[in-house]
Amino acid sequence: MHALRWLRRCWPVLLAVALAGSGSAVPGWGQPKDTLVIALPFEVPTPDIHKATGLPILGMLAQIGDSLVVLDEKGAVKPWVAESWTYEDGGRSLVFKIRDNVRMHDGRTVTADDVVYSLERFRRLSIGRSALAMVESITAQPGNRVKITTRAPFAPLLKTFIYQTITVYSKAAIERAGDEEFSKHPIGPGPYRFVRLVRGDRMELEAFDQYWAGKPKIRRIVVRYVPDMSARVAALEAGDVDVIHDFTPQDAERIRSNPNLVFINPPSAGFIRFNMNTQRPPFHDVRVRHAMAYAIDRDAIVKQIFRGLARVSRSLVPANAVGYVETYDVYRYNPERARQLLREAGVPDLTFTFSYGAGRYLMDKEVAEAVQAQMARAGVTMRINQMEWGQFSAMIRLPLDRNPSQMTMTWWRTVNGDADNAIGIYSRAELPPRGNNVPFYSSDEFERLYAAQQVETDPERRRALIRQLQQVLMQDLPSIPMYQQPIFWATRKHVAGFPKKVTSLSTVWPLYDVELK
Amino acid sequence: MRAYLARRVLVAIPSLLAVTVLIFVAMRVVPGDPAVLLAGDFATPETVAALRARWGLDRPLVVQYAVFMARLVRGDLGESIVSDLPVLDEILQRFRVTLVLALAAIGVAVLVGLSAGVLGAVRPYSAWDYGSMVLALAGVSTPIFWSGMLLILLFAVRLSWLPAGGVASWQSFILPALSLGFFAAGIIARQTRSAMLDVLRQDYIRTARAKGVPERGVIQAHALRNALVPVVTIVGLEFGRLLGGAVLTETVFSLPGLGSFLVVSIFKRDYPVIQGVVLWLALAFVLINMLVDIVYAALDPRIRYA
Repeated sequence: MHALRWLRRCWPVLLAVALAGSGSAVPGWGQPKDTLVIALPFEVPTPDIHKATGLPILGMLAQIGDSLVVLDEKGAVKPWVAESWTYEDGGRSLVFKIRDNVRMHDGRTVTADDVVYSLERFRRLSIGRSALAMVESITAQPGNRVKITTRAPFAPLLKTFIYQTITVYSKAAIERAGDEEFSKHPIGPGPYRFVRLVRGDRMELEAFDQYWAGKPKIRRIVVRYVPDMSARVAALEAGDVDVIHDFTPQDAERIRSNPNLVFINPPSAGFIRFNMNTQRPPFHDVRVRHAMAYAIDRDAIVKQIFRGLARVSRSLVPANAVGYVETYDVYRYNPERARQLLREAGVPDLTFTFSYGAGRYLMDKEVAEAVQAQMARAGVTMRINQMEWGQFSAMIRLPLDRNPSQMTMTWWRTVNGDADNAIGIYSRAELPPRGNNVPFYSSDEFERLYAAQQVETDPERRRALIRQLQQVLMQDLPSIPMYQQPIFWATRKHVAGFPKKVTSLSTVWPLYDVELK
Repeated sequence: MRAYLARRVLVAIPSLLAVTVLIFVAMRVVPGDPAVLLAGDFATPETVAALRARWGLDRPLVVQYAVFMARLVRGDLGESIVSDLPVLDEILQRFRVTLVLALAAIGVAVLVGLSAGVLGAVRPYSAWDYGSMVLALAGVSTPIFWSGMLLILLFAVRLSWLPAGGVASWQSFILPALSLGFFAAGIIARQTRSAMLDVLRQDYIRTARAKGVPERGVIQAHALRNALVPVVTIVGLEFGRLLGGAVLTETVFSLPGLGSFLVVSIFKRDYPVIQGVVLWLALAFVLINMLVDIVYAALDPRIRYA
């Protein structure tokens, strides 16, 4: 009763205290002005990019380090920390000339030694280190040059360096602090220097005014971990954050209709595929695999579930990769043709299990249920096995004799915009448990063409080989290419210049010229 | 009292030991390998094997448990597989957020729940009673993620009075505390009402009224104090539950608390963190139960612990 009486007397004061400082809309609660707050669905595990995972996270950590080359708007490789490059030794060596005016956050100038040390560190520590698996040696050359030699000519080598994890760090800082300590406070030549990481909450970056490409226009960047999709959208609408990534197509529609927000949907280099175990019945028969492709109405999925904001994939190479062709995808929705093929294969009443890691991919549950209904129209019973991601990823990587998977949903991409990186998973070298050849695909023709395109340095001839590879894959159909996984970003209207920073590789280029208007 | 508490602590030790064994075995029975999850899609079997060796996951289960216990008795919970940081530091950092949230939420719950419960009991079957009980029912039945989202949409998006989430300012805790507090308030209100109704029928209440004690005194000094014993039990349980982390609230409001930390760690199979957090929560429950016992004795002089 005392409490009630006290509350009755004091409620105006309490309300005033609760709302103190709130006034009207206060962008970025608790943040100083001139701060860009970015909300991501993943937590920054460590500020050291060589030890981190998750593409949008890598895009944030890349602000601390910097890349040798980047991609321009047309998808061509553009000089960055490396101002030029040449090929030597008959195409086996790539020599980068490092800019002389690039400074590290500790004031030192970036040298060829820093680059060599950083590349070696990437090769030693990063989970993406297979990107440089073909490299034989990395050496510093006179004139601030770095020479990278591969075992054999490797056509996509230059493009590999746009992968942002291949970041330049300060060799002196790593040696001074020791590897473990350096990981807690990395020093590189990027537009933003690392300030601190509050685990489970945020990472803070501060502008580095001596950035070689120009003084950053925003003083601070805060990368917040906001795991819930609806909460990210609400935080953007409320003005708590300036940029968000990853939300549903329904939210995308709401964002598009809000005049204070900008919706960004770049073409995606990653796509969803349905893999079929090609070594075990019923999918060892190519006719059954073709039937599955005819039974699925991909256009309807993109239109209904993704509200037209995704794009149907028509090859097992991402749409924006070199040599991409759609013509080999002949599988337009045709349940009758699916029934006929299943009859021919002797499985008119096909029943199988479709497994996926629930919640891993945007709208995965809705897609699984839609495909189940479409399959039923072709007389196929698809049982859905919804698994926790940890369980699912362990299952698909089991060796064939212990692997129970029939059809699975996975995502794959290219980290460098090159087809090689995307279709390499169908090679025998990638068979589980070693790699990600989840459908256990094995083809002599594929192996021959795949090896040939890797060493082919003539761009036209290489393009032709990649086309042939797509033809082989679409005929054998170890996986059904479903749709490009959309990369939704959105910003408040006052964030100028952000959309062109988001790449098809779902990562983010250096933010030094993004402004708050 | 001291002897009783010492005994309680001793009894708690085997319970905590059982918790360590249970969680240790349970996590390893569940499919999914932390090394595979950590190594990611690109990993070779060599990378995975190296990670397993680094974290001692390739050793026999008994050896792993012995190592865990040997470190535990020295107050060392090991390092997180994901972050490589000491588990205890990680827990303490998140526990601060959880503790603030739990205290704020239980404050809201006790204030609202007790008031509504007393009001309902003092004027039973009146509009006040029905009104407060409907509110209590609504509090208990409303899914927290839904009420949380509604609060965000109203106070953060529509009115811009409060932040939508995070821990950047103290105002960030108001909406999650209300969202969580109203849920617990519903439970406390119902318990308070029924306990109060029970007490108000007792002879000593009639005697107090007959003696001419003012109604407010009857309610405060005689009825409420006696009705509080079961209510304190509920408050203790609710507080323990809140300290365990309000996973949904922490997720909706992007609070880096213990609950969401535990869930994320389970998804990543971060064994040392899971073991550490569960043990920490078990310990918190033991301590809260002891605290509740002490409060019983303070409320009711007849309760004595020997």
